[in-house]
Amino acid sequence: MFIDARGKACPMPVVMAKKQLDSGCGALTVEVDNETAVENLKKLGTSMGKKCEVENDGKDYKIFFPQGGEISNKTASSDTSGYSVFIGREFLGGGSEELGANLMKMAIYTLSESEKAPEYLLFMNGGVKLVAGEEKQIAENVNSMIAKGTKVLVCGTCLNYYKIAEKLEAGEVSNMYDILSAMEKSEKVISL
Amino acid sequence: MKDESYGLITFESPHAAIAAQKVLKEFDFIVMPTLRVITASCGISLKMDINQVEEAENLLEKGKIPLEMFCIYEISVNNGSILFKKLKK
Repeated sequence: MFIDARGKACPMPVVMAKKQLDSGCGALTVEVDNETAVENLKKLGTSMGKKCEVENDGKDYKIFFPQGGEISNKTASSDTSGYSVFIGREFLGGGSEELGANLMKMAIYTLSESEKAPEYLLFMNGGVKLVAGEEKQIAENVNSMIAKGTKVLVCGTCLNYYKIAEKLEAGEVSNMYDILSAMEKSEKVISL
Repeated sequence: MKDESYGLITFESPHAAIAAQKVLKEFDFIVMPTLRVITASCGISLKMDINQVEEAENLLEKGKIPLEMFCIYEISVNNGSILFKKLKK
């Protein structure tokens, strides 16, 4: 089975591939034209417990999922008992944006100093600007949480929308599937 | 809380804390919540290297942040306990 997903905006390549893999199509090759899509397809493979290989011809990428390429379930589904923090905005709370930006910085600083680091930090929509912009303090605090074991997922669609994908300073480019699956696995999800 | 020593500037109001960040924009500081042991100030503080606080104080005064609007502390965290010493005001 071959899918030409070149020119398709995130998350379409993942949606198209997942549909085929779910239907048990056997071997599948997906062609895409950007690295974000490659990373998201690799993650899709991991989350579904499937091997995949990437071929790059200098311009486009082919991601190959071999038939029956199951991997051991170590990375496929690991249960977690921690908590997640979801950050969907640049500012904490409604009201003044200037105050909200300060509150967000302080909240993330406090989280990074906490003894119990979150299992996941999830950034979406305006929240992605906190780890991919001019603001260095937050990226540093997030990186110190990563060092303590926190997994940081940053919405790739959102980075592309704001045209700041190349500025990402903390965390990994992710997608709706992985972000929602992290929420599902968490004991509780705190939204900032 | 990890062991460390640093300078902390606290403010009488969030407005002063926000104005001070603009004055100190060339400085290396971290915006953090005011430590719970320091009660007489607003919730926004600036954490910086202790060696920078004197210069920061001068700049704040020049930047028209009135002296009575901020306080400077030296903070030492040791084995989870916080020692603080007021350096100004």
